Amino acid sequence: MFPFLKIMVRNLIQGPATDPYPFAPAHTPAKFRGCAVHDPEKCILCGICRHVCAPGAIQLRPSEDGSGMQFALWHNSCVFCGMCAHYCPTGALKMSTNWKLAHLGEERFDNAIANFIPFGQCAECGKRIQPRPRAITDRLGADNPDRFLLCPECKRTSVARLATEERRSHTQETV
Amino acid sequence: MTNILEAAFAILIFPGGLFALALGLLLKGVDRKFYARLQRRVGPPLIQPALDIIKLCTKETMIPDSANATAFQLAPMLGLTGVLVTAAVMPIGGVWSGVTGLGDLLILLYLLPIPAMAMMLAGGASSSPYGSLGFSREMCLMFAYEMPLIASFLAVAVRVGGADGSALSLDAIMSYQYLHGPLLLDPVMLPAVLALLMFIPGTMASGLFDIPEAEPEVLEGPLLEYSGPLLAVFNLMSAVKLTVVLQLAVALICPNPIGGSVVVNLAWHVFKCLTLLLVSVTCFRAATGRLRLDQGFSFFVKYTSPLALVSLGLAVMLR
Amino acid sequence: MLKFMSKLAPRSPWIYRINAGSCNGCDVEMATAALIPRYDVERLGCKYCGSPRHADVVLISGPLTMRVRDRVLRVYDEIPHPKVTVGIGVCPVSGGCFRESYSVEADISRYIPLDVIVPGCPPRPQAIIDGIVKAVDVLRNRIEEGVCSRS
Repeated sequence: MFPFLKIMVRNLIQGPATDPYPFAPAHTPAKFRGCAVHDPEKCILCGICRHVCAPGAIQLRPSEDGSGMQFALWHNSCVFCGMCAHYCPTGALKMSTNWKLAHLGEERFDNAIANFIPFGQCAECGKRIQPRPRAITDRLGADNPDRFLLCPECKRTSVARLATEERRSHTQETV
Repeated sequence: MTNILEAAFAILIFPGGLFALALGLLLKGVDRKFYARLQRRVGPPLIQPALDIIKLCTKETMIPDSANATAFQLAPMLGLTGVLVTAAVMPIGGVWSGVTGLGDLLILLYLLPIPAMAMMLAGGASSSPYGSLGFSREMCLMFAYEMPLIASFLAVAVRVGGADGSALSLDAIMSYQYLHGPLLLDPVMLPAVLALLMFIPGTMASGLFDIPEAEPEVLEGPLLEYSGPLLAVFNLMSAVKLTVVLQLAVALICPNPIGGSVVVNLAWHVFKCLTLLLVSVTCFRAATGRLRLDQGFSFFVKYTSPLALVSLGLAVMLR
Repeated sequence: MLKFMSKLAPRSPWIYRINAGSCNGCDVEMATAALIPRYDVERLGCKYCGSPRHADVVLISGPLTMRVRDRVLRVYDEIPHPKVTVGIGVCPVSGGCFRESYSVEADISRYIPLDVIVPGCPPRPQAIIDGIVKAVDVLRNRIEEGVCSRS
């Protein structure tokens, strides 16, 4: 009879179960998905993040002088789904555990990531290509580091040249 | 002349007025804090009700266009004045024996419903459908909880009066208890004491009887349209009402002082009020949910009133 | 006296919730922040109130759909000054997933000024408490500017 009496007494004895936040730091689980962070050193401007972003929080705009792209991620649109981080081929976008995003209404347009990412240059002709940062070259271009740094046209030429050279040496051997 | 001065002092400063306000706000604070602790929360600071009052005084007062502005503004004043007068006639064991000739159960029967009346006036005047709902609920519940109150008053009066008939004066009731021990320990009065304990949450609309001001259902009912200082007056009213009801219960069932000094007796009285508050309001509302209006009504009719009537019958037989 | 009041008054911010067409995610988190012992907002003196007339801090969730727009504006007008608006979630400020939908009127600040924004989808309860703490600061400034200011 009266099971609630037992519960009340137990609650009184056990004391409050309240998190001390905001008077002390809150516990954040290690795998908590907070706001995204962007590392401009690793970004290759592939645009896959913008493509998969459901609320359209990611924008890529060419800069005015054409020397690079402006990457913008608006935390006030981001829904923390983590798709951008999942699909990012280079790991430039990651989800952090940061959830302290509350801000005053006047600061709403400051609450974003804005990074400028300069274009890369073709190692042969000097044409503008997508950036080829060092960290990416080591990983993605490990098979053929020289060709990885070329623009598409130079790459085609170099592949063609390689193929013709191979054939030439091949025919010479058979002859 | 001294009588008038005494009455003014009683209404404005000591048992009524400032003292009752301070005690009421303290009781409300303890109630909220302890309620939070029962739910394993930290709870607000003890002075939170006072802070609420201060906050409400800085707010804008809005009066609905369709409301009856006079009644709308008059209702909280009426309620607060009513409870302050009631607090003034409330005796405190060993400290204050009430304004001479005013401490009477019949007068209390007239004074106690004033806050409920004020609520009903507020609900009716605010022209909101929720207000009228709260109005009708308040009225139904009032009819229900007045019955056991009257019955237990009569039981006490008959028990105290003994062979001479019934004693309605609070003075007589208290001096009887000084002589024969508190009515709380009197087996004949036990059912009436229980009924009185049920009356407290009923009139404070808490726990099972949180019907007229049910926040999730009728959005605080009569108080829905109130804002700013007028709401603050209503908050003060309910704080003083809490004090009055608890002090009344203390006076009826255990007014006995413990020491000779006035300060000790006052502290003892406050302690008794607090204990009563924790048992009959805080724990009660932490443990129970809300009843429907008809269930609440029949609860008082079926269980509480018979309890008080049993005591009354026993008291009449044993006189 | 006024200074004293403006110092003490923000310690009892009463909270009112407006659902402006939200998906209910943020509402659940708000209820969590309010009701669960773990995130007890009553420590800050908060009380969830049922009537807009009692409110100081308004929590708005949802992208303000066209159907609910007029009601939300009306309820917002019923709240006495000084009041502070907190946008919960990304919907009120940008529309979130519902952005540029034909039936959505986000950004809400075209109609109601948002004083504090708590982005997230939904924000975690601690973030909402964070937002309330910021709103209390705003409320303090409002009270200092003028007691009983009228719109």
